[in-house]
This record gives sequence, C-alpha cells and structure tokens, in this order.
Amino acid sequence: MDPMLESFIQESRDNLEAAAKCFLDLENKPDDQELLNDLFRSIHTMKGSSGLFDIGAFTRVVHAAEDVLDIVREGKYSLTSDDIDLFLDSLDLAGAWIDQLESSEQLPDDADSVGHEIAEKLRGLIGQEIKKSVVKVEDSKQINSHAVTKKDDFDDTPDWITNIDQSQLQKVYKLCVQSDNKIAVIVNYRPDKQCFFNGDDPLLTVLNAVGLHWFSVEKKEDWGELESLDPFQCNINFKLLIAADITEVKQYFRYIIEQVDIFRIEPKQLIRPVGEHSTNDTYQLFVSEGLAALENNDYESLKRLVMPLHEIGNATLFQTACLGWIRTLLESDVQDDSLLKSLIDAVRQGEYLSPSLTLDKPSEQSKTMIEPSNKLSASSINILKTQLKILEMPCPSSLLVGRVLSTQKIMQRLFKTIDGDKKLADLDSVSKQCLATSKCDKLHDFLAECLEQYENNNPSEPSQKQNDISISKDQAKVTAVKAEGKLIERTQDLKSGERSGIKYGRRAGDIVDEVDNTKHQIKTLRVDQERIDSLMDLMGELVVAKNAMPYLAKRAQEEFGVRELAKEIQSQYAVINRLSEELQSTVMGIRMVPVSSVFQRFPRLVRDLSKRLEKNIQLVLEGEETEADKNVIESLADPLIHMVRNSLDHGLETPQERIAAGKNEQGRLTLKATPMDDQVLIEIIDDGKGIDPNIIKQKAYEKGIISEIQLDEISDQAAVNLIFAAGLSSKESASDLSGRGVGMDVVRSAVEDAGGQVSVTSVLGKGTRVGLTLPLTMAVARVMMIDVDQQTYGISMENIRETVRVSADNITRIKHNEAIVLRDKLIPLLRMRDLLGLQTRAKQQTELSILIVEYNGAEIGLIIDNFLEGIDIIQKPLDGVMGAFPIYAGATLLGDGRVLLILNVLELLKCR
Amino acid sequence: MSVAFKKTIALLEGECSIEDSEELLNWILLNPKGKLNLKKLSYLHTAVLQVLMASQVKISIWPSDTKIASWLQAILLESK
Repeated sequence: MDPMLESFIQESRDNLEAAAKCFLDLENKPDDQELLNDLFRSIHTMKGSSGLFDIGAFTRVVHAAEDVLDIVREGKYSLTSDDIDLFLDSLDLAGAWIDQLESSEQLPDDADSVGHEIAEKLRGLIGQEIKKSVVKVEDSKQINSHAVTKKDDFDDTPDWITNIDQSQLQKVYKLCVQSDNKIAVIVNYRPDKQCFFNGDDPLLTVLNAVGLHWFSVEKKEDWGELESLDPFQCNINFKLLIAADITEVKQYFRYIIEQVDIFRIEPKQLIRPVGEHSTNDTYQLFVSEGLAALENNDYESLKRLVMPLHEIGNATLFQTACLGWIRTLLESDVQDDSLLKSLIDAVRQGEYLSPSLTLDKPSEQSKTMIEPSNKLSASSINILKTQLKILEMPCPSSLLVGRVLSTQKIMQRLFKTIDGDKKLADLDSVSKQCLATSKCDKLHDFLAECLEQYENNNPSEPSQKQNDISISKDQAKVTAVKAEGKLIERTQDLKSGERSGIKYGRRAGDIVDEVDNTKHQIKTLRVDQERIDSLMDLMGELVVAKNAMPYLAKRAQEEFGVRELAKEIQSQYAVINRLSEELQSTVMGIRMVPVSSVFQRFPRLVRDLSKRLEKNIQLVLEGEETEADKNVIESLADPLIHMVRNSLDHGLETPQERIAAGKNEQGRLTLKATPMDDQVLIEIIDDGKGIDPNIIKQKAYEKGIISEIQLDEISDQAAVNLIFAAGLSSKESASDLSGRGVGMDVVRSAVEDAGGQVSVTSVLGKGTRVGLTLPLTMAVARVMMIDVDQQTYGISMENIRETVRVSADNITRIKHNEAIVLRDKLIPLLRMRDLLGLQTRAKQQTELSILIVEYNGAEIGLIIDNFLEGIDIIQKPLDGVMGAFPIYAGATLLGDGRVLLILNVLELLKCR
Repeated sequence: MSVAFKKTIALLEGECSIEDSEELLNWILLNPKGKLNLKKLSYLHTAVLQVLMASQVKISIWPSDTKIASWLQAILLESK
C-alpha cells in the first residue's frame, strides 16, 4: 500500500477517535471553546489530508462537518443531542470507509451517494442559519432583495475581464462554444502567504494550468519599503482565464483548493467590448445594413459587411471591438441573433448591453435596477477611481477631447443608476467647460468631489481590498438563495464562500497550530507494530543466547578444568544479563499502551445503549493511564464490551425501578484499572440490582449444568460463579444486546487465553463487580521448571500458588484419592505422571515435591519429581502436530539448546 | 546559480529559483540604478517575480523567449 495512504489511515483513525471523544464531552459542556477547537482541528486535519487521495466522498463528509463546526465555533449555532447523534453517525461512516480503504484501497461503490446524503444532512443543520444571515445582510443594505439580485447579475462577470485582450476573449469564446466539454472558467488564486515554505511556486502553478488563456498578477498588500521586503512571503494574487473542462480545472487545483475560487461563466458573459467610441458615419451605415441582414438571417452578407470594417478599424475603438465580437459570433457554429443584435446596437450607441438585460428581462425590472438609491457599488467606485487616475495623468492636447468624452460617458452611465438627472446636468456643463478650455482639471475636481460623497455614503466599505471580499461574500449568499444568478457554479459550496472573507484569520491560526504540532511530532514516532514485534523476537533470541553462558561456564570448569575462565564467563554473564534485562524492560515499555485506548470506546457505547434502553447511566472511568502490553489490552477489548453490555442490559435498572428501590435515579457504571505488580486489575462495577444466586442456581439446574444435589449444596458465591458456565442466561428474554447465554463464558475463555483470570462478586440489590486480572505482558513469561520422569517441563508462575515438600507419611487417602492437610486446609493431590499418562512409576521417595496450583478458585496439589529453577522465557506457540495438544501452552529454547515444553495446567486438570 | 551580478547589470539566466530572490533583492538595494538582463531567462520563481514587481527595477533586455517575455512584460509594465 502507498505509505502515504497508510499513514493517512492511521492518522484518520486517531482523529476520528479524538473527534468522537470531543463530541461526547461536548454533550455535557456544549460551550467549551477548547473542546470545539480540538474537535475542529481533528476534522480539519482529516479534510486536509483526505484531499491527497481519490476519496471525494470522504472529503465531502468531513468538509460538511467542518463547515458546521466552524459555525458552531463562531457561536452562531449550538449543537443539540440529536445533532451530535448525526455527527457520531458521520464519524462511524467515515470510520467504516477508512476500514474499507485499508482493505481495498478504495471507498465502497455507494460511497458517493451515502456521503452526499450525510453531507447534505450535516449542512442541513446550518442551512437555516445561513438563510437568516442572508436576510440580515440584505436588511442592512436597506435595499429590497430584488434590487440586490439584479445588481449581482450585472456584476457577475468580474470587471477585470475588460483588462483582457479582446482577441483572447474571442478565442476563449470560440473554444467554449464549439467544444462540448470546454467551458470558460475564471479563477481567483490567492496563494497562502507562507506557501513558498511548502514548496509551492504559484507562478508555476498558474503557467501550467490546463487551458490557460490569460492571467494577471496583483499585489496583496502594498510593497512598502524595498528594504523591508520579505521575498519569501508571497504577496501576490493571480487571476486566470481558462478554457477547459471544469472537473479538470478542479482536479488541477485540488491541493490548493482553499486558496482558489473557481467560477464558471457562460461564454456570452465574455462579450465585453471596450474602447473609445468613434462617431464615424461608416459605422452608422453598417448598423442599418447589418440589422437588415440580421433580420433576414443573412449571416453571409453580415459577415461581408463586418470583415473589411473590422480589419481596417483602429484596434482601440469600441466599434472595432464590437465588430470583432460579431465576427467571432458569426464564425462560431451556433448563431445567437439576440447577441448579434445587441452588438450591432452597441456599435451605434457606443454601449453594450447584454441581451439578458435588454431582451430577456421585462423592462419593469430594469427600472428597479436604476432606481436612485444614492449608493454606488464598490466596483463602480473603483471604476470612478480609475477614471480619476486617468485624468491625473499628463495629457497631450490631441488626446484631451477623447479623454474628457470617455470619462464623461462612464460617469453618465454610473450616475444614471444612482442620482437620476440631478448630477447629469452638472456633469454636462463641467465637461463642456473642459472642452472649451482644453484642460481636464475641472472634470477631475468634479469627479473627486463626487467620489468623496459616494464613499461617505458607503462607510462600511472603506478600502478596496475589503470590498472585494465582501462582494464575493454577498455574491455567494445571493447566488445560493436565487439560483438564477449567472454564476453557475462555485467549487466551494455556499458556506465556504461565506467564510472566504475570514479565511486568512483562520489560516494564520492554523500555521501556529502546525508549528506546535511539529514540535510534538518530533517527540513521538509512529512505528509499525511488526517492527516492534521483530525487536521483541530478537530480544527473545538474546535472552536465550544469554542463558547459554552459565552452561558454558559450567562446562569450562567441569569438562576443561579452567576455573579462572569459568569465573570470567560468569562475570561477563552478569553484565550481559543486566543489559539484556534493561533492554527487555525498554522494549516492553515500547509495547505498553494505556488502558484508555480500550476504555475510550465506552463512553459512546454506554451513551448509545443507555439511550436505547431508556436508562439513565453515568459512566465513570478510573485509572485510564494504567499501562499494559498492547496485545493484552487488545485481548481485553471484546470481553470488556461483553461485560459492559451485560451490566447495562441486566445489571442496571431503569430510572423507575431505581427510584422504586430507593436508589439514585442515575445508575453508575465504573470501569477501573489498577496496576498490581506484574499484573493489571480491571474492574467493572455497577450499582444495579446484582445477581440473584437463587435464580442462577435454578437456571443452571434447569439447563443441566448442575445436579440436584449441587443445587442444594452450592454456596451463593459458587452460584454466582456459574454465570461463567456455557449456555446460561438469566434474563427471561434475550435482547439484541446481550443475554443469549454466550457472554460470560466467552469472556472467561478470552481472558484465560490472555493469561488472566476473571472473578465476580455480587450483592443482591446493591450491584455487581467483575474483576479481570491480566498479566502486564504476554511476551515474557516467568516459568518454573519442574522435573517429571527426567523430563523438564515449565509451568507458568501465574498458576503456581506455592511449592511445598512434605513427607510421604503426611499423605492422607480418601477413598481412591490422595490429599494432604496444609495449614488446616485439605488439598486434593494429583500425580503429574498420571496426568501426563506416563507409564513409569516414580521410585519411592520419603519426601514429596508438591506444586500447589489454583484451579477454578480451588487449590490442587500436583506431585512432581523435583523442582528446578525459575527462568524468564519468551514463549512461542506450538504449531504443526504439537499444536493439536492443548495441554502444552507453548515451548521455548533453553540456553543449552534443549526445548522446554510449557504445560498449560488448567487444560491439564480438565483432562483428569 | 542562475544570476550573475555585474557592476550595473544583473544577468538572469535559465531558471531563477527562490534562493535567487534574496540575493537579487540585496543587489537591487545596493545598486538602485542597476538594470536586469533577462535575455536567457527561461523561468523565474514567484519570489523572484515579486522582487521585480516590488523594486520596479529597469529591464535592459527582455527574455528572448517570446512567451515569457509577453507575460512578464504585461505583469511588470502593468505593475508600474
């Protein structure tokens, strides 16, 4: 598997877990900003890294979640319990996808539809919020919503389009009209200021963009003093005009999608003829002839009319630009009469009105648009500012007339939309004065005065930069509300569009976070478990090799008689032994994980189940930081789930029952881990109704687990222990949670497989406590070697209670069975030779070696030939032929090369 | 190194990387009247472009590669 994907899977699992935990905590502390930030970070990280892979559905879901959380974080929405359910479901879904990714490296086939549905649901949470805020914005503008929409229509194609060379625009138009899959796309690319440090080269990105036709560069902020310029901070933004398949464009920008806005525009929106209007009569002649040709649908003669005029025309003239467009339209396959007509009209009027405004819309609507509002849009103010700059430039007298007239024209058009005729008259007289004096300073002053006035009318939009952002914000909202807007599609959805204005603030925060994270990352390493396992194996080999040294010393002394050397070997052995023990505990330490890794899934489980069972349960986790070997912790997971389910289902009562029993309405379930030397004790304690030994006895008798005699004799504690017997269920009806009678015996065998033990105590009406004792590690076991019939066996120290040597006379015979009395306690005896089925009889000994082991809570003595020393071993499971014998737990190599078989005492005693 | 510095002229050749931007900036600061010869320039990093835009340094020779020359001219002349 791709290592990137692998680490993504790992990280996402961690993040999903962290996020789930945050959600659960949020339910109790809904306003905890810290929690919300953590949560947001987890989700944000997942969204970010998921973009690297072809898993759009995943990205969509986490993106939706991120958007909702962003709103929540801003305090505009608070999550309800039901919302959290939805989020948890989404996390589950994402988790399932991650599993699928791991196994097949792709998402399930239905991922797209399922993901879409979930993402929609998530967004649905904030949908209303957004609508509300849109209304607010409109209100604050104090214009009726109709006018807002109209204005946006008008401004849809950004004004900078007019900066683009007409021939380029025409080329793009042709491409888009003629090809089905190519459309005109404009991209606002705002590289992150720190992007150079990520290895980004925005210019290269722009130049390599698919279907790039035009781009421009502008500074983000003023350059300032050259001395203080930081060349490693990206201070430029790009604007691109692209003709390509939009999915290709999105694909191309997918790594920097948060830095770009991609707009799709209709080809006819590209038609923006600009230039100076000439009053030459030739054009008037063309207009009348052209319109006539168009009416007859005679495109050929229209073309003949256009061609020479276009070719001889001055390229800077408005008419030439219009003719160029007419030519482009005629040369493309699809003819649009309304467009052609508008363009021909434009040649006459010196002003191009797109047919969507002149023809499609009823005139009444365009009236609303030009209703005086005494306010200018930000882009209009920009246009006026540009005009002001033009007027400030030195002007040769030959150009003066044209300049004054063009500025006058532009101002006229803008003023029409706001002040009606009042200003127009002033403008007229001012420009006449200018023409008379051949100086444009009067017009300049007039324009400056007007500008000042309008800017004061728009105090909320102080600078151009902010204007741009606020426009895009408003556009996004309005486009979503009124789908008829001309911006057909935005890559980023409604919500992220709304956020684009504040994105920089957030990015800056993220960078700080990332710096912090890198510091953390250096401290912790993610290592594949296999590597640790192989380290462990090597360490096992080392222990075995080390164990060979005492034998070597013995041989040196006994066989070769070199006492000095033997001593030397012994002292070297002591050093190596110490080092290997240190190494061993270090490697063990690496494998240690806190039990919290198992515990943390329970808050969710308990929450969900208690909701379903309509019980009110508080989960208390204690000693989560207690550590144990990873394998042990993992083997703990399933038994714990079984037992927690049991407690929830059978143990804890409903609130009504609890109140009736005089208890607190809220039940309490405690999961507790306590370290105990080389073992760890896990307890599951509930304050429920406890286990009724009589019911258990009766059930066990009915199921044939105990005999009638046992039914009378069995102690209450022993009866409670019967819940571990296979096939026993106390609840009358089995629920889908637990109670099919497979729970507790599975628990016991799982725990025993991991080398642990289970015990249960219960007080009727007060509660139940189940305790699991598990070894801290399953890797290194301490065994005692014993001698039976000159064969050496190992027995795990955990099973051994004590070792005693008793005189043969102390053995008491009870019928066929042997027993001894040890400290006033009768302990049954078994001979190991019999258990192992050895035929040879042991020679009569005056003193017997007895190994006392615990079996099902009772003590049993095993008679063996002799005790040998205890050693640390790395136990290897048996496979092949020997694997079929459960009485052997495994085997290990001894220092002298012999194989030591480890007996599984519990299995052995079952066979008796 | 794709930037060679002479007394009054800096030669930018081949591909100018991000590392060149700082050095170029320093040179421009020391030689405010210096000019750039971009004749053999085939590509420049965004950071270098920024330095050209911010400093408004004079270009003595535009790149012989017309493609680069066209967009570079558009950007630099416009930024003035």
